Amino acid sequence: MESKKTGDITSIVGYVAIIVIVISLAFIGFRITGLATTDTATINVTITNFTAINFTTDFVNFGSGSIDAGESGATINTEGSVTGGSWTPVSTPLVLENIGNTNASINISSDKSAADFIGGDTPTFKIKVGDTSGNTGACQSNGAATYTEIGTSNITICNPLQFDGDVDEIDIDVELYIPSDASGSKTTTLTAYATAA
Amino acid sequence: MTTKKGAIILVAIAIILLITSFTLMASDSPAKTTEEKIEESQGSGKVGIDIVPSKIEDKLVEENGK
Repeated sequence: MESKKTGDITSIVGYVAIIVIVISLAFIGFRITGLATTDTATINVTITNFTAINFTTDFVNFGSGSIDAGESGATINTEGSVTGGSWTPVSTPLVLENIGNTNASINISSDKSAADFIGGDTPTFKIKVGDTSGNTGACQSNGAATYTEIGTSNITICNPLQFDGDVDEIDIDVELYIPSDASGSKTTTLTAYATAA
Repeated sequence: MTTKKGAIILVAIAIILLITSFTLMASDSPAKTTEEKIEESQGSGKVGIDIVPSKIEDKLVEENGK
């Protein structure tokens, strides 16, 4: 009786093993057939989306000058305009380039307000953004297409600045109003922040 | 005894084939792709100017100083 029971269990185990073998062979057979008819290759790719900007012209120096006699102040900008003062015209704006491989939203701010930068009574510090020559369309949705006050708060100037090699540069023109009671050597830093757009 | 031996052999073959099929399945799993993102950057530029007092102001300062 005991021997019959053991024999039954052995038979069941055997049948289960046969079923597993059949299923495994079928699976392996399909895999091998698939591999033989369709050759595949695996490519591992690491894609780096990097956002990077660079001021290719990073210094605007208006140099030395004074307010003309009788004027309450002078207005100067990087488009070569000097009104009411003796500064030598400057025609070189700051130039900002998107050197990354993704479009970027650009914010900009100064480390000083107009009052802290220039001093005197009611000075103004403004910037104007435009596509660099030969980069038409670089700045989409221009937030400072006309001279716009800049201070310590961020303003969005381009959203986005494109990254394509031919259209990735913008000019940032600077305009200052210098009141007659301002004096001394003045410097401020404009910081541009780029965020992937 | 012979039946038992046969069952053991069948189980052994089943285990080997099961492992083989799992290995094949694992080796054909989808390839991983990695995407790295550097989403922020900043740069800075400077603006400088030297404001010299006008001559008329200098004269006034001189006169006031006398």
